[in-house]
Amino acid sequence: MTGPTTRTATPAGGMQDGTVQRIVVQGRSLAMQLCVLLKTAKIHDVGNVAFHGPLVNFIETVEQLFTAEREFKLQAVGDFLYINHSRLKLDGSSYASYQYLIDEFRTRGLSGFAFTGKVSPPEVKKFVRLFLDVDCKSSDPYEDFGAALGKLSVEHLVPLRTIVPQSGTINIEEVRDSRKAAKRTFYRAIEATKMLMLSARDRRPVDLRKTKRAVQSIVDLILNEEFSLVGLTAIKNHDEYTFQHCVNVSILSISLGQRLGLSKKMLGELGVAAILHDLGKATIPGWVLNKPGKLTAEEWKLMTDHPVQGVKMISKLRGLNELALRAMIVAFEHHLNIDGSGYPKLGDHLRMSLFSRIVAIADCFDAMTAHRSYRKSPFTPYEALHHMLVANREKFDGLLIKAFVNTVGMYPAGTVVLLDTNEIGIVTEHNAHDIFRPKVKIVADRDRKRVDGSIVDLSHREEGSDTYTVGIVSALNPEEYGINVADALT
Amino acid sequence: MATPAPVKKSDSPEQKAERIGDQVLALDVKRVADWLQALVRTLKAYRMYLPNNPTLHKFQSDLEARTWSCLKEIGDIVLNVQQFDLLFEDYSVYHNAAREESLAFRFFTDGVRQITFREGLEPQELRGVLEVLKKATDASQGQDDVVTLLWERDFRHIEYVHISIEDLMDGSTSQGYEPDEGAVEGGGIPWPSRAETPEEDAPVAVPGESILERSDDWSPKAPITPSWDETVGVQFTLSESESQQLTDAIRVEEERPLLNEVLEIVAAILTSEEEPTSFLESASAFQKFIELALEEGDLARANHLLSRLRTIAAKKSETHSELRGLAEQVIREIGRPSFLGQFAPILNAHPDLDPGLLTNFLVQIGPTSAGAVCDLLGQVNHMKHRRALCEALAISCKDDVDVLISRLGDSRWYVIRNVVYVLGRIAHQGVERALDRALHHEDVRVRKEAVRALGNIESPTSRAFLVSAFRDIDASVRIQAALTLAQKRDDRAAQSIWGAIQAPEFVRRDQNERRVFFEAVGKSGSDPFVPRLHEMLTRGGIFRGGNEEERMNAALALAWLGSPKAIEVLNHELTSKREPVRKAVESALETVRNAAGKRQDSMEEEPTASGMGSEEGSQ
Repeated sequence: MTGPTTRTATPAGGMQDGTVQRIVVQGRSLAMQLCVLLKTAKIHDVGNVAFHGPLVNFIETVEQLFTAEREFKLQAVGDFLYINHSRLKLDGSSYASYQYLIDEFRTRGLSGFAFTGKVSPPEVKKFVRLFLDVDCKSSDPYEDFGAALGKLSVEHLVPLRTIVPQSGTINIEEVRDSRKAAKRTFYRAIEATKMLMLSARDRRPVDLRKTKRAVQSIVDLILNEEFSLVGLTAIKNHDEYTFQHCVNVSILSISLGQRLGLSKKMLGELGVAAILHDLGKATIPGWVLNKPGKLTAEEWKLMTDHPVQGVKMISKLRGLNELALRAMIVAFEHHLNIDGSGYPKLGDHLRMSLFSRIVAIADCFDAMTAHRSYRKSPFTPYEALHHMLVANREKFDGLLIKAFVNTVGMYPAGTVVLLDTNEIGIVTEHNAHDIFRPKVKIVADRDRKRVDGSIVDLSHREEGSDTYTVGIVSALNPEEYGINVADALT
Repeated sequence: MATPAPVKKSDSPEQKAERIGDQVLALDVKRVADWLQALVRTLKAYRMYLPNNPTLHKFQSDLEARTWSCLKEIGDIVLNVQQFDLLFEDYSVYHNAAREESLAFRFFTDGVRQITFREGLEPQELRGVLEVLKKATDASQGQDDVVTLLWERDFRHIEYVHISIEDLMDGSTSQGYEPDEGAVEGGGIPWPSRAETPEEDAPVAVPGESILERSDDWSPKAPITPSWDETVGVQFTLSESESQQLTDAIRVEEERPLLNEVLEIVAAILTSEEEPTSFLESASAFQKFIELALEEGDLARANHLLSRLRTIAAKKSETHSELRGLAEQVIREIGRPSFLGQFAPILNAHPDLDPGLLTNFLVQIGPTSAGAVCDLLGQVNHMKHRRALCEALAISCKDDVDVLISRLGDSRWYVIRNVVYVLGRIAHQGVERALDRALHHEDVRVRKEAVRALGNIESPTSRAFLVSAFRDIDASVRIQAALTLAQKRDDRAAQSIWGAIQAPEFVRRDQNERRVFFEAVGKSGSDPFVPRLHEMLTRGGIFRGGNEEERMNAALALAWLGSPKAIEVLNHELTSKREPVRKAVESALETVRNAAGKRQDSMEEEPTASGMGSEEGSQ
């Protein structure tokens, strides 16, 4: 069986068919209500009055869907839910519910259900009871469940077997289009950032429109694709570090913000604030920014003054709206730490904003994983996370660090890993349901010969067993192995 | 669907409908055109009325009714955007070539090429669209364009197609950033050339200079030896309480008092500045917040910030004397006409602004704002605001009236009248000549104000100018001059007025004016005038009729004079055998008694500034 194609419902910007849009909206409702239904049934019997409300809502939504479609499917493929061929948009408020359903489906060997006709309350009650009673440790829970439904004449809810999104089943064109869109967005954001910083440096009027549009595209992509842009942040360019760093921090911040459940508008503001966080560096000469080795007292003063310079520059923007105010706070606070250390030390400013705490994490992570003139080689993403989680834990917001790890995974995109098959791979995406088991593109075989290998999902288990097919032995320094991370991620 | 025939853009919706052969389509086109007209009308009403205004509500209800009806009859409404037109099914349903106000032009220049209103559009979405359009067509609303505003709103039932900003902006080439479409996957990223960012040469290091860590160096002090135990992976899962904490943190962030926090940051930066250039830069940032407060009509905040800036500067000047001057320079800058002159719509939109705060703010800025404040006088609708502006001018320009005097050449009579009022408040001899000029202004309202203003100055010259006003061609000015002079309450004033009464042309004045002049003599004069007035009162004999009007006026003057000698005359004549004399006295005493009663009442009411004009608009 092939998986559904990715036809995302973009609320803004796309010339979408209205029916598809409606189905996606109703599909979201259906998934959320199914989640409530299952959770309620885990606590109360299906005959309990507490089950009645969720049951009615669920049936109503199914009926609404049947006004547009003759038959529809709610399916999980990879980390996403689909209603027929349209992927349900993932956002902060739906994240937990979708993840719950995906996990519940997965443990029963299901990808989801086909709805072949309108359902009655007794039918749904039977279905829910059987679903929860499935023996997940059985050799084929899918078969068991299907048979049980047949016995009780549940006809309009047909279980669907798990779809394994292997390379052969992934629509390559679609992946390419998605990457191309991500790359275009990435380049445009860097271009917009460069123009912005050069304008600021030359004291020309700063036009934020381009930056805002770039950030809007990033937010849209992250809300729909989630991982492909984060992967691009792993490609570091030494020459254009300052500009790319700002964009990377923006992408990482938006991703973390999305994981936290920030609204779209707030994600936009967070993204722009993150891009502007180092605007004050536009006043620092390049030879100081790129100086190999330690700084003199004067250079240090210049460097530590950039948060203040950033505030002044942003204050010159036309219109001091909410976005500008947030950006000023982030520019000022992003080098302050939770434990009171950091700079600038002015007044009695103590409480860092949520945005600043997010940007500080993204800033540190990206800075550590980048080539810098004063460091022989960058840290691997894995090392950087370790450093932030252990050595510098008190400097960052503990909960946000946790959420960040859940956002990028323990082996973030771009990490080169040695697998227990003795192959070497580069992490392309993390798995939301298992942060230790990302998706890895094989770049060297067990004899260490370079290969253009397939993408392996390390969260897959051997059939009928709890054992994972492949595991990670350790993270490697790509430079030691002459591996170009960019090749795998672009 | 039939191929639509081209439609002239200037056609009315009815004309458009007629030209279309397909009856159903014609009806739809008309519906959409009508709906857009209602949308534009409501948008205008949004700008004109306060949110609770019933007229605005009427427009909103009408628009809502049309919107639901349109969507119900037509289904999704897809509008294609052209430079000055919105097209529905290839027919222009909206045309406006005036760039400032054209919705189509706004959409087009921001890159929107199609906008779709879907069935199911909700009332709050419709209101949201109006707010977006209002913001997008208001030049003072910052940098946000339609695309950004729509994007932020994330409407469920409104979709739009837009071109990229790179395609929109002339001369904004991608500068080598765009990936080569034909490039092989994984071919790496084409990075921009470094030549665009010329770097300065690094200076030679000074020997012995201390060396510090880098600010952006997160390198760990000890080597990293990462090792994770996957079995404890659960430690990275957020618990429910942790998730709740993060949700709470988001709520806190949403409700954060951003402005106050940023102000504290900017104030802290300003306080820390040591160099004049940096101080000026930070003070300029502070200035933007003062201006923002003003733009938002928050005069209390504006006053507070201005005081705070002065306080910081005063403290800094203890060690850096030049910084106080820089702060004053920044404060003066706020009074620039290009900024403060744009303040009128804000004042007009906030009728409840405390006039005291307004005056205080303008006085704090000082005389540099006088030009802009004079401009405002011509644009502000509410009388109490104009009064506050005049009060501020009177205080700020006390020692420098040149700006005010230069405004006497303004083309607007009402601006001149207000300036004349201010000059009258300043009331020193340096403004007399200017007021004399105003006495010859073509508008009678200005001349009357000049008379009142001259009344505030005590000098022979001002009296002479007032007396000259007796020759004005307009009776109201002459009357005002007499009343103003009468307020001096001295014989010199009374003598001047008496002189006017004695002049040959006085008999040609109308009855009311003559009466006022006599009253003025009575109000300003003293006993030396009693015999003259007595003679007038009793002129003629039992069988010989006198000038009865003159007799009445003389009695009135004596009654107003009210001295014992005058009262004695009046009491005596109350028993006169001549009925006209007796009646004149009785009438005069009655008039004065009534006037005294009225004056008592009016003293309990709030006094009004004469030069402010009426409340709304008339200036």
